[in-house]
Amino acid sequence: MNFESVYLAHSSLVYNVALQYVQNKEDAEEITQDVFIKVHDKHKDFKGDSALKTWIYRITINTSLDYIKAKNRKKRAAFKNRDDHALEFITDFNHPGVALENKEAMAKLFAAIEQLPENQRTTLILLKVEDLSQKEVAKILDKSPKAIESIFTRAKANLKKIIADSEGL
Amino acid sequence: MKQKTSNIQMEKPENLLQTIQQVQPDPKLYTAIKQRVKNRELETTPWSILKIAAILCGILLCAEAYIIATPATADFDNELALVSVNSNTLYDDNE
Repeated sequence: MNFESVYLAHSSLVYNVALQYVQNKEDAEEITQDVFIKVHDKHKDFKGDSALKTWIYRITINTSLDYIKAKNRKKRAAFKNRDDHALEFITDFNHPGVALENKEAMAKLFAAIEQLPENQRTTLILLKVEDLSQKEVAKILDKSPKAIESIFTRAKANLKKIIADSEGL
Repeated sequence: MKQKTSNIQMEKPENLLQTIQQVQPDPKLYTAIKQRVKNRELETTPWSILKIAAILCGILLCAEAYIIATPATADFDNELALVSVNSNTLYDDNE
């Protein structure tokens, strides 16, 4: 497996999926680096029982979720210790793929998405942003298409509820 | 119109996600990744040598401990090798 060709074929996929999780360029670049380091380290473990793209999607999703958890731990510690320097690193919503006129609405939407359980959040991102089919998402998440449909339905319902609650409706 | 858009977003907020554009990563990212891979390889090599050396030392120590612990069984084996005195022996007691 030639690393450079794998990078060229999948870097955009990885970067954009990471962006949907963290919504800013700097964090997405960190995650992209981490993903490709893992791809480089683990390519010998890749048995080829799934497509390379599926495998890379999985690594990206797991790395993104781990990154967010680590960042949230640092945030909590910073608030607890009233560490102003650390608090500076809490970045605002700055997704480069979002049009300016949608920025405010999208920031509220992502704030709501962040409150969803991980599987619902991931399913929403893969279906609605990455525009994958239920079958493709099912392969990535190692679930049945029916299960993905069910998760997506719950995600939509929960999202509506969270948004309604946040707007006091 | 703004109210209508807002109502649509409320009804199907997930549809707003479909307006997100795909973005190309910075080309310098690959350079950063290659450098990290190279740094990791440089870090890993001395550690690999140390690990192998530690394993070999462990094996040698275990072998040494085994050898020190087994001299009694060796003497016992030698004693078993001696021919026991019975009627089948060829030497004559009267000699």
